[in-house]
Amino acid sequence: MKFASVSCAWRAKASGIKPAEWLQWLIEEITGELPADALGHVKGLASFEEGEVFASATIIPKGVTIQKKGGYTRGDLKISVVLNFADIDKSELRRAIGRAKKRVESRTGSTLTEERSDT
Amino acid sequence: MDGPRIVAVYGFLGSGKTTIMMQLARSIVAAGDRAAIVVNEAGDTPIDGKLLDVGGFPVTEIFAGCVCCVAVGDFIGALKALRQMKELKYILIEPSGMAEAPSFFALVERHVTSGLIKALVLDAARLALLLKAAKPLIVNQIATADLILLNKLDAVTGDQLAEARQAISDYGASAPVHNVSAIQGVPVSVIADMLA
Repeated sequence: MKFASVSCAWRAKASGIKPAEWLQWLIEEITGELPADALGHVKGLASFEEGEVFASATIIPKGVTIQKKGGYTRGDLKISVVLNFADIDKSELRRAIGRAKKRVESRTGSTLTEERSDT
Repeated sequence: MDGPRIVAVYGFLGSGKTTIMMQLARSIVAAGDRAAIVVNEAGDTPIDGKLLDVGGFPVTEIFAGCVCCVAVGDFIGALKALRQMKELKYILIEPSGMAEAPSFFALVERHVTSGLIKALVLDAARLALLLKAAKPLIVNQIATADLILLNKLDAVTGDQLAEARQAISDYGASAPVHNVSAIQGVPVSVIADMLA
């Protein structure tokens, strides 16, 4: 079994979209891009002035778990995601992130500006 | 036993280790004791470390590769330093979800000769899939455990749970097995067993 790890970080300008929503939608789209029996997990972190929101998901069972620290009222967000999967190569994981990002941007009408990625 | 007790919470990616670590940490705080946490995160983004940063625990994060292969020096250095801290009652270790249990614990046990509890978190919802795709990894995890938390009770049927328990038994687990749902809360009695 071979593992691959890919991460990405973006800045989202304040737009009325809550941090938990950003993470939920991104992670749902990412997991939707991966094989139905993929073994691994996606973790997400949204940081803002008043706190942080954490999210995680495996492919099985479906669903994104969200935990919140603090309460978001205003300001830009820093959003990070990390994908760790077995037997899926990095290029496929990066493609999943790229497609998910585009879909969420289209859904929200907002832009995620890349701050860092290991792509 | 010299120094803090070490509790290692290990298991595959997404099995629920970090959620259980948080509950362990809260129990320790509630009892008025102190603990430190060492997390070996896959990748270089400190998500688990930030999540575990509860109650003022010192969280040491080791990145970029599994410690049994890559960041050995960092991990052992952190462990040695923490064992010198007299005010600590516990050191909680969360290895990477990609770690090979025998290699990882061989490394730890070279430096820790007593007071180590190995708590395996198994994902009941994916155990059958994991045994199909990564049988040696999972079987080794089961063989290494002092106790087993069969997690995601909330996400499986009675039949799936029974199959998971049978599989654990088939692979010769001698450790006690507890059915838990980490997101709903691990029972106090199980937390007590992990910290005993």
